[in-house]
Amino acid sequence: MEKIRKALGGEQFSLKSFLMEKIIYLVLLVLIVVVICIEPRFLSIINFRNILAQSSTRIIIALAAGMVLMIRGCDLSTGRMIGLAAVISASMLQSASYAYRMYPNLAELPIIVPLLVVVVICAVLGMLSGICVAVLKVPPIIATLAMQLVLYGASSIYFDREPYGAQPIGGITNRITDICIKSIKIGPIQIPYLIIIAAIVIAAMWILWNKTKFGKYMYAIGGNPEAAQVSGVNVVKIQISIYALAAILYAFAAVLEVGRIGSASNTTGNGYEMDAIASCVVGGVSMSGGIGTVGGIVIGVLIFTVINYGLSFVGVNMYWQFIVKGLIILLAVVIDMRKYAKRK
Amino acid sequence: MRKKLISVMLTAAMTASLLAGCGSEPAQESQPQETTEAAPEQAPAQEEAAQPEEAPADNGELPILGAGIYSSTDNFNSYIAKAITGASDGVFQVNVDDGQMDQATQLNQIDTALAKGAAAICVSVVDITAAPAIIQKCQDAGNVPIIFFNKEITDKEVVGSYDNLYQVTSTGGDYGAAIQGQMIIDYWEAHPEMDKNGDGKLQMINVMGDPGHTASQPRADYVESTITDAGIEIEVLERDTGMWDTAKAKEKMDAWVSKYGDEIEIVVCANDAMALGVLQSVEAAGFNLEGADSEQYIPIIGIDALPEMLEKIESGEVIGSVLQDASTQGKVIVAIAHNVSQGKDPLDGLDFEFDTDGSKAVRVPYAAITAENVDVAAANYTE
Repeated sequence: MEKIRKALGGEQFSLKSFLMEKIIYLVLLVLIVVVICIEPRFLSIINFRNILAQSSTRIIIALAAGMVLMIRGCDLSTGRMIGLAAVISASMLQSASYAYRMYPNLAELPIIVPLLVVVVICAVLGMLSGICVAVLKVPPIIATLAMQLVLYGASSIYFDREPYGAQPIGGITNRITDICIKSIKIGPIQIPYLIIIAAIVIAAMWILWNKTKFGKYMYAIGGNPEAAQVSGVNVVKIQISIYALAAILYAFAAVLEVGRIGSASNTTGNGYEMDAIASCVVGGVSMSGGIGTVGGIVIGVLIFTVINYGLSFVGVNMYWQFIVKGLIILLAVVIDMRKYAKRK
Repeated sequence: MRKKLISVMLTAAMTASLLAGCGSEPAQESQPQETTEAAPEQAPAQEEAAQPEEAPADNGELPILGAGIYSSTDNFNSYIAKAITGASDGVFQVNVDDGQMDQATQLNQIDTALAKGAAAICVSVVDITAAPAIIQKCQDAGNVPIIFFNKEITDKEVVGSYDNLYQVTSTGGDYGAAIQGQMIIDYWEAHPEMDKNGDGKLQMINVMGDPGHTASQPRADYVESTITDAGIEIEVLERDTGMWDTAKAKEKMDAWVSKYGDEIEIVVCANDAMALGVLQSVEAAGFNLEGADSEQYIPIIGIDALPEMLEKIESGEVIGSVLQDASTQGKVIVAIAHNVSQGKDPLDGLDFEFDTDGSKAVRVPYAAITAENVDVAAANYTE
C-alpha cells in the first residue's frame, strides 16, 4: 500500500479519494459485471450495440438538460418540448402511402424541412423560458413547469384533431426510420447511425463546453453569477442562449425519437426531463450549478440504459426494477455529494 | 396544500402565456386561444362557489350533455370523447371535459355541467368509488340521468341506488384479452409451424401495461388462462411491463430478442402502441421483414386496432389485434342520454340490451381483427 502510494508520487494520493473520483465508472463496471454473472449471454456485441443505440437520443437530451443545470437552472419542460416537436415533425414525416395521414395532401418533404420547422419553434419557446428566468427572474423550476403545461396543451391540441383524432401519428417515412434504426458496416462491426450522430453531438458539445468562450461563461455563471456579471460576462444573454440551445437539441432529439419509435403521440417524451436530470446528477453534474462534464453526463446516461436493459435482460421482476433504479440513483448521488462536500 | 400548488401553477402558467402573447411569433399563434379556452375550465377548481354565475343555457336551443373522460392521455378515452362529440351533433351541445386523472377535478367539472343545466351526464370516472358522490350530485340537481362508460361501476348496490343510472362498457372484465387469447389459439391451430421447437408448448413473452392501470393485470392473466384452458401449455419466457409505451416496449424487446431470438413463439402485447414498438425491435433484428412469409417470424399480437397497426396486420408483420369499439360506444351513450331525457325507453331505437346481471350495462363487444377483416376496424376511423 505504502509502495503504491509512493510509486504514484503523491503524498496526497489515497485510494479512497481515487475511488471517490472514479466511483461513477466503477458503478457502471460493477453493474455490467453483475448482469454478466447472472446471465452470461449478456456479453455480446449485439447487447452493447443495443445499449449504445438506446442511449444515443438520451445522451443528446441529457447534454441539453445538463447545460441548463450548469447555469443553476432546471428544465422541467424537456419531455413536453420533445413531445411537441415529435408530433409536429411526425405529422410532416408520414409516408405518402400511409392511409391515415394527418395531412393527406402534403407531399413527402425532405427531412430537413420538418427538422428546421421544429428547431425554429423550439428555439423560440426555449428563448421564452430563458427570458422568464434571466430577465423576469422567475425561478427556473416555475418558469419551465409553466412551459411544460403550455407545451402539453399545445401538443395535445395539435395531436388530437380531425380526421383521425387522438391516434398515434404513425406511418413514418423510412427515410427517417432508416437513419434511426439501420447501421453502417465499418470493418467487421455494424455501427448504428444513431450512435454516430450521438458521437458527433458529444464531440460538438465537448468543444462548446471546453474550448469556447461560451463554455467558459457557462461554467462561470454556474459557479458564481454575480462574479461572472462583474467580470463582464453578459449573463442574461448567455442564460437565454442556453435555454434556446437546449431547446434546439430537444427538437433534434425529438426528430430522432420519431424515427426510432416509428410514431409519435402527445405522450411521447413524457418524463424525459426526470431521466435527463437523473442521468446528469448521477454523471456528476451539481444541482447547484457550475460543476459537470460532458463525459460524466454520457456515463450517467449509459448507467441508466445499462440498468434498464440489463434488468430486462436478466428478467428481474418489474416492481424490483423500479426499486433497483431508485437505489442506484441514491447511491451514486450520496457518494457524489460526499466527494464535493470534502472538496469544499 | 394541493390548492396552493394549483394556484401557484396557474399563476405561473398565466404569466407564461401572457409572455407568449407579447413576444409571440407566427410559429405559436395557437397559444393565445389556448389560454382563453383553458381559463374557464381551470377556474372552477379554485372557486366552486362561483359556479351558478354562468347562466343556464340561454344561447342554444339544444340541450346540454355533460360529458367527461378520466384522462385525455388514455387513447381509448380520447377516442370515445371524439365519438360522443360526433354522435351529439344536432342532438346535444357537448364539450367533453378532461378529468386529468384527478377525481376532485372531475367532480368540479360535473358541478359545472349540472349548474349549466345539463340534460344528462355521461362520464368515465377517474375512480369508481367516487360514483356515489356523482350520483348524489345528479340526484340533487333534479334526477339528472347519468351514464357511466369505459370504467364500470361494479358495486351493484351503488348501481341499484339510482333509477336514472345506466352504463355503457365493453364486454367482460377481461378487457379484450379473452378474445386475444382465442386469436392466439386459432393461430396456433392454423399454423403448426408456430411451435418452432416442436415441444408442444407455447414460448410466450407477455408485455403488460402500466401495473397501476386496472386493465393491465387482467389482460396479462386472461390471455394466459384462455390459452391454457384450451389445453395448450405455455412457457412464459418474460412477463414485464412496457408501460403502454412504444419506446419502452421496444427497448425491453431489444434485450429479449437478443436473449431468446427465434425461441420466441408469441409476443402478447396489452396494447397496440407496445406491439408496434415490439415489431420495430423484432424487425431491427431481422425478423418479420417480409410479413407473414418471412423466413424468420415472431408472431406478435396487440389490442386496440390502431390505424397503424391495421397496416401491419394487412402486411402480415403482426398477426392481429382486438378492437374496442369506441365509435359504437359513443353512439350508444348519446342515444341513451337522448332517449332518457325525452322520457323514452333508454334503448329505444338501439340494437342493444342491458346485461341481466343487475349492472344496467350495455356491453359493446370487442372484435378480433385479423388480415381478413381489417376493414371492420378501419370503418371506425373513416366514418
